[in-house]
This record gives sequence, C-alpha cells and structure tokens, in this order.
Amino acid sequence: MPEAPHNLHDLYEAILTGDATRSVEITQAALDAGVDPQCLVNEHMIPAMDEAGRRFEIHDFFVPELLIAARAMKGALVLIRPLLAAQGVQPIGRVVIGTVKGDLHDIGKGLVASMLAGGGFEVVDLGVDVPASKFIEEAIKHSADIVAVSALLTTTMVGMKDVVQALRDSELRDRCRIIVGGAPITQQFADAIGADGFSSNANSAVTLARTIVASA
Amino acid sequence: MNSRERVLAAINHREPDRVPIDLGGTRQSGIAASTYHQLKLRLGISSPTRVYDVYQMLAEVERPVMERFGADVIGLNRPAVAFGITNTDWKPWRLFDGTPVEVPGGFNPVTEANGDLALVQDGRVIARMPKDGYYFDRLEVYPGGSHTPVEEVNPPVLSDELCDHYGAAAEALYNNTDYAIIAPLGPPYELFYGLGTGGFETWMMALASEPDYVNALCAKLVDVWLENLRRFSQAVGDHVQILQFNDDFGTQDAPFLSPRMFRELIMPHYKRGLDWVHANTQMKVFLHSDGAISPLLPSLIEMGVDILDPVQTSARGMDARKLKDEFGEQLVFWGGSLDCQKTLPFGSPDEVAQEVREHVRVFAPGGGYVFASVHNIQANVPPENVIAMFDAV
Repeated sequence: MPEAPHNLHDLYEAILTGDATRSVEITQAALDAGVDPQCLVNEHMIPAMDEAGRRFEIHDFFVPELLIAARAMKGALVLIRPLLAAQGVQPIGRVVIGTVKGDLHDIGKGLVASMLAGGGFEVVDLGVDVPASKFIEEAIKHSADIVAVSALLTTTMVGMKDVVQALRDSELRDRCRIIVGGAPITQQFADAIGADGFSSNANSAVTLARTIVASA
Repeated sequence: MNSRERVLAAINHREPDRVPIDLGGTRQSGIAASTYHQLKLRLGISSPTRVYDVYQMLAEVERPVMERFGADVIGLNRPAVAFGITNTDWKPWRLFDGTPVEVPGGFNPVTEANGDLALVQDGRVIARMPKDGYYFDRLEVYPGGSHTPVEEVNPPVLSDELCDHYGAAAEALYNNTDYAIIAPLGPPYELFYGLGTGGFETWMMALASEPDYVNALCAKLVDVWLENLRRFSQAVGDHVQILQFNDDFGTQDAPFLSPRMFRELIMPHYKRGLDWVHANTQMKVFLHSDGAISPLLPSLIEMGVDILDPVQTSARGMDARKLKDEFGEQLVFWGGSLDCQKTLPFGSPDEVAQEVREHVRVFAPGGGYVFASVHNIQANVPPENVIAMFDAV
C-alpha cells in the first residue's frame, strides 16, 4: 500500500474533535494515496464516532460536540461512499426516519438522523408529520432495515402505534424493525405498542440500530 | 395573606399561609383550551372559552376558575400575545376536536388541501397546525438557525405604544387585583434554544465551532434587551413583582450543552441583562427551562436566576428531594408538581393526587415554592386529573 500523506490517526482526531475541513482533507489525501476506503471507515472513522458517542454517554460530550463530529464524519463519507458503492459494499443498514403524524417537532429526530448517518447508516429522512402509510411506502422503496419514529407530544405519541400496526400489516413485517424515541417515550410505552426498540438519546439510537442489523 | 403577599413570601423564601398556586400566569403554566373547556363543563361554568395564545392554543384562565383552584398569579402580556395578532374583536371558532372557543378577530388561518391549518403572514406560511392537531408549530427560521450575519440581525425595541400598554395594564392589575404579577420580557430571541429555531443543528454546530459569531450575535441581542428592560421598567414602575424569561437548556437526560460551554458562551450574555434587572428593579427573575438541567443550576444561580420553572422532576438528576436540599436556599422552585408526560395525562386522579402530595411535602417547607403544572396542561389531560392535581395541594 502506498504511503499515506498523513498519519491516519489524525483522521480519527479530526472527526472526534469535529474538524470537518481537516477530516475531508485527510480523507482525500489518503484516497489519493491509494488507501482502501473501507479501511478508512472501519479503522479510523467509525472508531472516532464510537468514541464521540462514548463521551456523550458519560456527559463529557454534549449535543454540539456530537453534531460537529457527525458533520466531520459525513464530510469524509461523501468522498468515500461512491468508492464503496463501486466496490459493491453495502451500507451497514438503511433507516427510514420521521416524526409521527400530527407532530411537527424535528430536533430530536434530526439529531438521531445525523448520528445514524455518522454511524455509517444510509438514512432517508421523511421530515415531520409523517402518516403511517408514508413510513411504509418509503421503507419498501428504500429496502429499509429499520423504521425510526419520533414524537415529542403526549398527544401524538399514541400515533406511533399506527405505524407499528401498518408495518406489521405490510410485506415488511419479517424484514424491517421499528424503533421509537422522543421526550415522552419510555421502554414501557415502546413495549406496549409493540415496537422493536426504544432509545432515549441520539447516540444510543445508533447502538440500538447496530444491534438490530447485526441480529437480522 | 392575599395572593400577592403569599407569592412574595414564597419567592423571598419565607413560608406563606399556604402554598401559592399558579394556573395560567405564564404561557408555560397554562392550560390547553380544549381541556379548559372540559374542566369548566365539570365545574358548571358556562362562559365562552377564549384562546389568548393562538400559538399554543392556551385558554385565558378566568377569575371563577382561578378562584376555584386558588390561583395567585396573573400575567402581564403584550396585547398581541402570539404571532403579532392582537387579542381583540373576539369571534367564535372551533378546535379540531370540536371544542367551541373564541379567538382574536385577526386570527385567520388558511385550511390547506390536506386539512392542515396554515398561518400566513406577508405571503409566507409562518406556522402550521396539522389536521387534528392541538397547536401550531413555528416554521420561521431564527437568526442562529439560519446563520444570519450579525449585522443583518436588528430586532426592534419596545415601541412607546407598547410601553404605554404595559404601564397602564400593570397599574390596573396592581390596583384592582391582589394577584402577584409576572411579566415575560427576555431577549428578542432566547439566546440558546430559541435562536436555533428552524435550524437547531446549524446553531448547535455554531456554538461548538464559531464562538466569535455566537458571542457577537448574543451581545447584540442583549444590547436590545437592555434597552427594552429600561423602557419596560420605566413604564411599569414597581407594579410587577416577577420578570420572566424563557430558554430551554435540557433534554430528558442531560443539558443540551456542557456546563463549560454554557458558562463560556451563554451565561455572560444573560448575566449582563439580569445584573441590570437586579441593580435597577425590585423584580425577582424567573427562568423557564424544561429538562435535565441540574448540572447548570449553580451557574444559573450565579447568572441571576431567582426562580426556576417548571422543575421537570421526571428528568434525570431533577429529583425533588435533591433539588430542595442542594439548591432550596438559593432557588425558588415554581412547578415541580408531578410528571406531566405520564401521570397527569395517563394516570388516575388518585395517582395524580398522591404524586402531587409527595412533591409538595418536599418543596413547600420554608417557602421557596410556587405550585404549578410542569409546563402547560395539554389537550389530552382528563379534567378530573386537573381537579385532582390542584385539590391535592
């Protein structure tokens, strides 16, 4: 393998510290030098996001630090994705995400989408106020492994049950899982409506999604 | 004690004759119009229900209801409470769930093809209520969310007309009622959460990577805030007891931002405004912030916050006992009544009453406590739970 112009640990550092300019620069230089894109992702980039997530869990990182790390990761992935696709490498999973019908809140959903994309998932963000039928249509269209549904309101969270039901009634029932989250959502609520998983923050959503695709 | 004396005792950390109560004094301790309507049916009150906040669809809490529940606090609001629509020329209207209400004459949402309601100003949709929804959500993008250059951000100062309104209304409430008076007047945009409206991630990333931009933007907003505070305080004199400002620093689990970032980028700006309030007025400072914010409480106290609302005890690290023991001498707790994401909407009246009694037992001793719901009472809350909640105090 040709000599990379940078110590690739710098790529890890650039992503962890959220330096998007540097992460793109190092990635481009490494690719130009012939470094295997999959090695960049698996050996340097995903470990950096894992460390960012670990720091978030122990309240060393907060939302701003997590988001700039994800931005640095996504910037590098823009360069890498076409190369992986050309090699026939699939993303680790595909997620269709949105906020439930009647609910226009998108902050938590946006954080989860960013972290999933940073974690190597292909993410289709349907936005807010998404009817149950739309989740299913898009999940079929994109061959999603996971449907992720968000709600902020006690008045709209009950609509998540409709999405679960629509998924169970669709052709996706055996190959797509549904996960839920949002301020009023709990594990008990997720269990009660028959969802396959719940996470209370954007980082644990990535862990959850990985567990789901690994067990599929 | 009358209501004002009761609240003043509590916010000065003296134990009043009973726990003071706030229902509808702020736009964060109010009640959704549909629940309010159901509540009035239960209480045998047949007056029309007015929606005084057409953004959150909050009811104007009327005197008979305030008296029934022993409410002690009244809000001093601008005539145009939401979306610049003046609360006048009331007309009949119906909520999606069929509740008959009255709304301001200038409130004219457009029904879109899918049944959503859109509020249009200057040809742009600024807010939308989904079909069968309970309130509007803003579609505007605020300066931090759009990363607007600082020189292009020029919020207006309070007009003379508005100051005249504040002066006359404050004097009338002071002389004609016994209620404690609270007035909301924060910076033109909430410095942390609100500034990111419409582009939260953009704003969060600016906080993490562009401190100069953040500082310049906040400094400019606080300049305007200071001018507004001077004008407001000159207009209302000593008639207002509590100055409210809002922001949101917490998720269910943790603050959005690190205590260090808060102290570096947010606190100095708020402190500049609040220092002026403390040096130049007798008003106590009330902060509304939901969420798990216990790691920020020492900084909030240092920043000049006297009263914390809504005290979301269900969020991580916000346990009532812990808060009262650690911060009860420096901070007044306003809210903290019960879990409004679970018990209030979904529990039984007995469960509501029991949780309220537990929390009041912790918060009330020695004063420093005003009872209120943890954020507005939402549209799906059974009226019997509302009654159980206030009757348990």
